[in-house]
Amino acid sequence: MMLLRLEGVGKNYGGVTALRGLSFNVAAGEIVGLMGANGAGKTTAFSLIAGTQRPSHGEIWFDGKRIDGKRAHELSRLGIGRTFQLVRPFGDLTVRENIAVGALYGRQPAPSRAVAEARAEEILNEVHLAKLSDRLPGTLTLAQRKRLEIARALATRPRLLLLDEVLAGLNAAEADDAFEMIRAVHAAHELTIIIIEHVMRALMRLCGRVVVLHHGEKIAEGTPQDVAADPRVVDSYFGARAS
Amino acid sequence: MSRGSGIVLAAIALGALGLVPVVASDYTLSVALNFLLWSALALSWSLFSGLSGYVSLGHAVFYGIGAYVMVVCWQVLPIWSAVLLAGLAGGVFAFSLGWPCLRVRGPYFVILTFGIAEFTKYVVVTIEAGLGRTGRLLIGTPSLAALYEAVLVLAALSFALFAAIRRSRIGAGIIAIRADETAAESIGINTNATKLALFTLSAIIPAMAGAIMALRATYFEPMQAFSPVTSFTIVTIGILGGADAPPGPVLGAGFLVLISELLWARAPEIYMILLGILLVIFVLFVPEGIYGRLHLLAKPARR
Repeated sequence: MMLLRLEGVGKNYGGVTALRGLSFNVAAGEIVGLMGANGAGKTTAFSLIAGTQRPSHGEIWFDGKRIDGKRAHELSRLGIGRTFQLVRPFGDLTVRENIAVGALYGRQPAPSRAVAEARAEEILNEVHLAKLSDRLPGTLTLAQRKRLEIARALATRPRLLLLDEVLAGLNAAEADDAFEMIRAVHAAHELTIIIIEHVMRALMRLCGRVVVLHHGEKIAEGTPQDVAADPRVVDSYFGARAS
Repeated sequence: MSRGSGIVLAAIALGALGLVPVVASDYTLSVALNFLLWSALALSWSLFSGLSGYVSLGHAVFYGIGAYVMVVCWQVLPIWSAVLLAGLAGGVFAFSLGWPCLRVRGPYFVILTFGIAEFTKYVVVTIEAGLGRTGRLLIGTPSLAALYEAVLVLAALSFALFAAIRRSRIGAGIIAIRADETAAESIGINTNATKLALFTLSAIIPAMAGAIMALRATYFEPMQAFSPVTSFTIVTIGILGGADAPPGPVLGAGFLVLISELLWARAPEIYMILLGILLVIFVLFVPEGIYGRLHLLAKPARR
């Protein structure tokens, strides 16, 4: 079943084109990688899918409904969850409270407070933050804050989860842990995931398919192995090869 | 403190406060009335500004509108219907203000609410001058004891409302908005609707208080009813007591009324200076307010 479909989606900021004619599909249960150099339009694509911004062109369909132009909270209620590249925890709420708010809101129908709190406890264990549940986010390491970011999004019961560079800035051991966690929650929550990541190794292991953006346009789509061998992709990351 | 013991404590306090008119002198009664009035105003304000972080510096406008509704309805409507109508008018006014105003945050919101309150004041001044009314007198208002009991009801209602909101889903939502509006929106919180609902709710009781206090003043003069000093005092109480939980504004109001009574009589010339210094000290060193500090002392492990 096709869960998400983008058709000719574009975004202009004044005279600057951040994204042009982007089309791709995501089937339910897939993990799709979104790649590209800095400024390629990856985060813009996320903001359009999650409703933080409105597309200038094109259509976005989610679960058979047209969603472009809807606001972010409406999309969360339909089942689209996201994390932010620069994590945005609720700074004056504890780790547990951060997750509990997500569980109280998110995908409709909203649960009762008791159900939401029980769900927050489950997720605390699932993302290994239970021991830190009474801490404030400011006292956590970057790796822990990234975990919290995922946990809060997960608490909203999403069907589609957008992960924006959740491995960036982590050391090898932390990245491996985070990687295993993503794989575990994907299986446990019957999730569909789109993940923005620079770390090719991680994308190779996680994704069945990747979409590569360059200067706001899609230049390649396929299995990670095919894409990694595509000369246009290599050029987009390292510049045109000297010949 | 558990929820049950909190309710018992609140019931005892309410009973004791209800008996004040029976036992106290008129002076004590008017001090107690002031305390309850400022509690009600600051609690209503905190319900929105304390929880959302959108600091309204214009809550005097709702108080003034309430007073104006009362004098316009004087001898037209029964008094207590006029009080309810004043609350309705305050809510409707806040709702229509909220749409444009709640789109800006931080200092812009502060200035905007202040500006609109001042603007409204001069509109009322102009209307009254156009009608040829320079101050309206209200003759035959209810007794001080009756007004006291009415304000007590308002204070109790605003306390209960704040406590209920603080525990509710919408309360969790507004606190998330205070921390990060974009992130709040991304987890499914309708930020615009949540802010507007609480802003509207926070205006109703101040408008009813304005209506009752017009009866206490027995006259209406727009410059006084819409005085920005009311807004400043509300914010001061929120800062002194702490605006994050219901006991905060009550402690702040008690503290302010107490030092006012002590200082106003003994040192009127330096009263405002001392108040200003106190405010600066709190903003710099006790930003969480009296109650917030007590709360932190009770469970220091969190930070």
